[in-house]
Amino acid sequence: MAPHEFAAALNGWLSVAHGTLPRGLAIDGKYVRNLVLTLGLSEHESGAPAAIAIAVQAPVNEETKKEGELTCAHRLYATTPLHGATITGDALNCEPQSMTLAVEKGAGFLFQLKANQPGALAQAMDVAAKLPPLLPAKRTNCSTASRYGGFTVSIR
Amino acid sequence: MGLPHVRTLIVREKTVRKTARRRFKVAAGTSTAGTSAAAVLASDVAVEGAGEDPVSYFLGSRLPGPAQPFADLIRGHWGGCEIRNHGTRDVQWKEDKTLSGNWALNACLAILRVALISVRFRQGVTLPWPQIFERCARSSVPAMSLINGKSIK
Repeated sequence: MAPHEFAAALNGWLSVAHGTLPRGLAIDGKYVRNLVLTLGLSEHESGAPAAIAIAVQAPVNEETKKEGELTCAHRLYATTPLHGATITGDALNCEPQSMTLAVEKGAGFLFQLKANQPGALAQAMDVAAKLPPLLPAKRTNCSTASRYGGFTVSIR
Repeated sequence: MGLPHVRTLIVREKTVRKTARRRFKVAAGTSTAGTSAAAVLASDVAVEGAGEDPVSYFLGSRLPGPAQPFADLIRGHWGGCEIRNHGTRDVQWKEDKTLSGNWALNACLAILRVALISVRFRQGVTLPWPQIFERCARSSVPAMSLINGKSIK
């Protein structure tokens, strides 16, 4: 069976179970021994895939990797029900077309912002620089945090 | 856009050798790429012995709000794709140690592994992967149960 057709069949099966509740979907690519690039939209809670795509067979280099991941991501956005979902991804996905496609499909996004978007990064750094400094942790407790709209979570 | 709506979250993580303390702030930013108003999340990470940039930035389409959903999304991203999906495929199935150089074969096997992760979740199976493998190797009944939409305990 051709991998692309197999992936499309699986995506059709997976899409049947999509609910309407808000959910987080992580998008990331994974190489299988530098041979096959798979790109998946995984549920945050379970790691179960919401959709998967296989990049076209191509030589592996940085440019191809970048284009392969983005091309697959755009294809996934276009063919996957995303209404109500929030897509998270690394800085590679932080580019205008991915954001536009996600929003057009009714999804939100939260992408890491790094130097590949210098203008937006400078703007974010400017916004962050104007924020009031964080209080020392020892002076923040649950009641204080909740009074000011925040909260504290301890994980041990 | 009015004043930034700032929320603070402190997540204390205890790791094996060091304690990481993360603080998150959510503030209003401006829209980019023609999308709706963006939120900028700045997180301060102080890890003992680490010399990394302590601030991370994220761009999102949701309006600024409580910090916890943003923190959950950031942590959920790594848990969802890197640990429960990619990590499972590499550790349990040794996907990266495939001996085959056949592109189509490896692609189809990767899709099958992803499908199995979905089946395990859909059937509500809580057994760890090694136990599932052992039970399916001992008898075909658990495997057939999973394929037929039943759970195994």
